[in-house]
Amino acid sequence: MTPHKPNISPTPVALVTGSRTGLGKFVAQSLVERGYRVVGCSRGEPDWTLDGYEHIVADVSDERSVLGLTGHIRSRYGRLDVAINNAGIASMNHVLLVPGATVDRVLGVNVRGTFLVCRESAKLMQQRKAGRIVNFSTIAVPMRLEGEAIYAASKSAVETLTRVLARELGGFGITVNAVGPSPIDTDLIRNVPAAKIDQLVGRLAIKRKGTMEDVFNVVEFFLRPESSAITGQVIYLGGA
Amino acid sequence: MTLSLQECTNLICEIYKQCLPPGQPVTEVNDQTRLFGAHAQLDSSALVSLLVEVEQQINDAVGTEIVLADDRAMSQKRSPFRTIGTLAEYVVMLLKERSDPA
Repeated sequence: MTPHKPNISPTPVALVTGSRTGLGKFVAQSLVERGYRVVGCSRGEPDWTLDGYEHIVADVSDERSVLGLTGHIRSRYGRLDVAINNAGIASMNHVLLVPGATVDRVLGVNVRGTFLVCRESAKLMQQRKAGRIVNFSTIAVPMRLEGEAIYAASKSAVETLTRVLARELGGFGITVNAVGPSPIDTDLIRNVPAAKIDQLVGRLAIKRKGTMEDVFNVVEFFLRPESSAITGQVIYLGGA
Repeated sequence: MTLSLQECTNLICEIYKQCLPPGQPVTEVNDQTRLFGAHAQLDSSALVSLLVEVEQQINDAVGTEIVLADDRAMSQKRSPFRTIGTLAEYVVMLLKERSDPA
């Protein structure tokens, strides 16, 4: 038997999860501008298209779905250079009012989803002995924000995952880092009262909300060829 | 498309040779070759690379999305990753299940 070798894209390929809207959309479009072929995913179809961007409907918390996603990248592009684990959900409520089902849902997307995408992405990246994985944390972790117990706990898990994977995947030439954005005007915080956001921003060293450009700046830093020795790091925006 | 046990064994033997540490003499590689344990030539990192490469090449060849390190493999008292032969048998079983889910 001769193993079938997929065609290998001459263009670097990036995967961005949760790219239908908001920050994921911005990161996906910015990577296309930087010359990447971008595969994005979300649980629903986007209302936008872009040359150089392909969207796959996938649920990152579902193993079969993630296998289908990375299998598509392998067979179509033959390589994966970058994985951005942006997909995430939040639940902001007092701990005494958080249903168990919400805990499962948040951990499913934020922890299990990030893990599955990291694992399957690394399998593709290790073939070329190079790759960049960027996970998403939040300033809610270092600031221990009240009302965000499950969300912050899930992102604490993402940070630990990031640090351990950095060690386990370093030998394959893969770096794993995380960015922790300050509050940005996206769907994630649309239900949080403005006064609460203002109060939070007032506790930061940089007293303004974050922007998508702020986040992409950190992402791009992790992706630079010169950043090959930077791994297992979490960079928070706003001086949290 | 599926693969026979012999085809799987041959594929794993080839990948095994590629995963040996540089300078390691290639002795006879066959279905009895141990993948881990006292007489194994692969270190833990090379074993991981072998399993990933086998998984990827099988999926490329057959158009499946099998995962070798699934719950069943990791919970068995006798690991299916003991030898090239037991790994090949495990792969064939997974492929059969995929083609005949009932």
